Amino acid sequence: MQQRGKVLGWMGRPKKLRTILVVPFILQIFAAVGLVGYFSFRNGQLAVQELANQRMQEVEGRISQRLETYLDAPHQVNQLNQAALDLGQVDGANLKSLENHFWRQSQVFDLVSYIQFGDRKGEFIGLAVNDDGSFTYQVTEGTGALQTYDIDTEGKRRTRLETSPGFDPRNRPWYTTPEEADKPAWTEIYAWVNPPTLAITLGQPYYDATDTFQGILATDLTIAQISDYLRTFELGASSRLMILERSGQLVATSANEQPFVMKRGKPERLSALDSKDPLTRQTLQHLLDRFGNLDAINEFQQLTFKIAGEQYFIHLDPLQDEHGLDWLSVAIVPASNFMAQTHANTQMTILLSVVVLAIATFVGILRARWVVRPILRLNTAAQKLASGDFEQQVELQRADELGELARSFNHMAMGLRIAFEEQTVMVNSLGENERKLAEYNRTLEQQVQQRTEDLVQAEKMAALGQLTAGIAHEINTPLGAIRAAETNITAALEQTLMLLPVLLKTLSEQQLAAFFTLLEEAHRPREMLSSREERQLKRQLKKELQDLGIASPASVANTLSKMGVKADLEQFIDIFTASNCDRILEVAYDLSVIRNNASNINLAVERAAKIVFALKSYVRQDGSRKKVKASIPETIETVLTLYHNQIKQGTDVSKIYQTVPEIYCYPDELSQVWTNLIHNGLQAMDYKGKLEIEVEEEKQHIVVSITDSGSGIPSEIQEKIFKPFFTTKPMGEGSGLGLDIVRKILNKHNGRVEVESEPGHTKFSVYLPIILAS
Amino acid sequence: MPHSAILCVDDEPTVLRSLRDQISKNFGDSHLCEIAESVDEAWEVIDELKEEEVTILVIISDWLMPGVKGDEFLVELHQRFPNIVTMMLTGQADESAIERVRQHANLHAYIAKPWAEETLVGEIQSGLQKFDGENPL
Repeated sequence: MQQRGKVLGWMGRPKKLRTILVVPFILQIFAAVGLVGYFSFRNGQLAVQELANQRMQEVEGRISQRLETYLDAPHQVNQLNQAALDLGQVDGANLKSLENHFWRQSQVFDLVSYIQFGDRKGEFIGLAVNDDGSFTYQVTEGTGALQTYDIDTEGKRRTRLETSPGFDPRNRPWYTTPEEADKPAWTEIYAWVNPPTLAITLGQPYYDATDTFQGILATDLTIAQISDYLRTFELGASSRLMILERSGQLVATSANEQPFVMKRGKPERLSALDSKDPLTRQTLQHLLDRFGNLDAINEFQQLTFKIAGEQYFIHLDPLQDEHGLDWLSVAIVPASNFMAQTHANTQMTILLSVVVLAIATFVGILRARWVVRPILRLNTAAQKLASGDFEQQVELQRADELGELARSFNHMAMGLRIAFEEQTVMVNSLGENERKLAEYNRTLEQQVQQRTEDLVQAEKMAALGQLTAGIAHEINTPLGAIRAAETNITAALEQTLMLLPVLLKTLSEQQLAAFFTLLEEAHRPREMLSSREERQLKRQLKKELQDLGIASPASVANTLSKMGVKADLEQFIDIFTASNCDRILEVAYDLSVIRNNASNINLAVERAAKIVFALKSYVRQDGSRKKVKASIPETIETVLTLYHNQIKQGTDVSKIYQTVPEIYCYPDELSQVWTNLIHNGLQAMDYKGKLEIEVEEEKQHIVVSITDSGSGIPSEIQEKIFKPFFTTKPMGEGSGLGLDIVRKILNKHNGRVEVESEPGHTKFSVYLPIILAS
Repeated sequence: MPHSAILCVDDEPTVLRSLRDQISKNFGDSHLCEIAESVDEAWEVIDELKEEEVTILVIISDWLMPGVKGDEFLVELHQRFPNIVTMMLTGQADESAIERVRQHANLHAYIAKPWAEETLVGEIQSGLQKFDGENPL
């Protein structure tokens, strides 16, 4: 799992590094190229619009100029005719004089389709420029009918072609409109039948030299020609140029249709809304939707709108003149017409962007690889290094920071290898040292254990050693007494056996009785008198004997006191007064010596036996190490017996033993506890003072308290006294293990020891749980 | 009634009695045998005997006794009564204590318990020889 994680990490990390290097780089390029592309495209669009505007304005300018020229022609014709009339070149009264004039004008003004004059009397003359390029005169000549004449190339009237009766020019719109306006004025656009086309006429009132109205000079203009003209502009497919009246009716259109419609063989005006050309219809509809009606458009307007998803530029330009003409020039160009170039530019931009991106990416990857590959090599080497393969060198001959890094790495790897080798050597030696140390530790432990055992043993032996002196004395003393008693008995027996039979024969009856009474008295069982009591007795006896008048009372009193005779001395008077009193008393004394020494032997043996038993109890090592049932006071007594000598030197021992049950314990170990506590107590008061030993039962425990009247334990060391090796005794006298052993032994018994101390009163209390069954 | 005495000091009554019996038996005709169970008592006895005009010739003392130990007693005794022959009869005694008594109390004899009667008597006799030819009175 860990290995897998490692491998994944190894695979994942370099990728990440390369990505980090490449992706932001490419993103930057993307952003830069994208922005450039966007602005280029945006500028392209603006340029397109600009281009379209310029182109359209140029077209419009030309249209406007052309229309001006076009629409100016009738005015010029009228003016020339006016001038000719005013100058008298022609005669207003003789209309025929106008014929040639009209013809010459038609040769100059090729845009004009009809030149005419109608006077106030209803006479009329006109020159028509026919669709086929021929000219015809139309005159009334006082007939009231319109007569049409062919014209030769010189402008001369040839043959009459046709006559239309009932013609009065004064009813015609071209006559009435300017007459009413009393100034030059355009007629409504009207439809011509033959050839079917739309036309418009500019009429002008003619006043003669007397400023009298004489008639109307008028010139016709066919508007179909305007459509032709509009079609000459190349604005690209789906573009339209139109001239509309404010009513929406078409004046001219570049669309592939006539600006009028044929109904029943006659042309009629066509509204743009009814156009067959969808673009024309939609454009007007859009304008109406936008402006309400076309009258609202009084100045140049530049619009864009969308039809069927295609964007169009629209220019609206009012066309007006002083003669009442009020048209609207409309140019519609799809934006796409001007986009072609821009699209090409955009495509070029995109292509360039892609190429730049590709190159940038390629360069980025190369660069990343150039940077990352040595890092990967370093990384791999570092990982091998980390896993303990110190033989890592990275060959990277580069002068840059990576080369430096590689060199540093190699340096570091070498340093690590050396360090590792050193470490290996050190670890080996450390291992060796550790092994040695462990060995030393083991040895030390053994030594400490041995030493501790030695110390414990030494402590025991020290306590024992303290006892040994006393015990030797204790044993030797009764032994001495016994041996002495034995020799005494032997000697006394020999003497008695020798003297007694002789003596008995010499004694009178009274003397004999007194003798036996004396023996009886001497042998009376009683406590042995102390030497002091004996001396008192001796003094008392001496005085009594003196009173009785006995000779050498001191000697008799001495003997009697040694025999322990306290009774009334008068009963022995027969002996005292006998001549062989000394001999009688000597024999009696010898007999008492036998008796007393035998008793002494008994006492001494008892004493020795007691000591031996105590010693045996004290040193007993129970092999099974099992608890046995024992009496606590007895274990204390054993110790006291052993310490008899130390205690008797000046210690007053008081013992208060409650009756307590025997408990399961290690008696010999408890003896050691008492020994330690009693020995400490005795030492503390230098064997002089009071030692109180109390045994009582308290809360399921036997409590043994040993109190001495010594100087006490300072409170600051009370805590320490139970610690091993703590001692206040001079070197060599105590191991400092005594109370530690006490504590350990009591722990074995689930008991405890407490101490309370003040000068003159130090009490160790031992608590032993009462365990009645094993 | 003799006017000289041998004093035994021991805290063990049985020893004292046995000792007295032995000494009385061997020296009873010429010397008294007094006993004391402690050093304090020994001083009392010494005073009493002085009053009774009894001269103490030999003092035999135990070493290990309650209160004042034998060595101290004998050293002090020797300072006060340099003529008295000092002997120690003891079951066990400190070597240094014995040496001190030898030096400061002119210890005549050291007898270990248990003792043989002949040894005791012999040492007492050799001690008493000091007084031969001189009148202790």
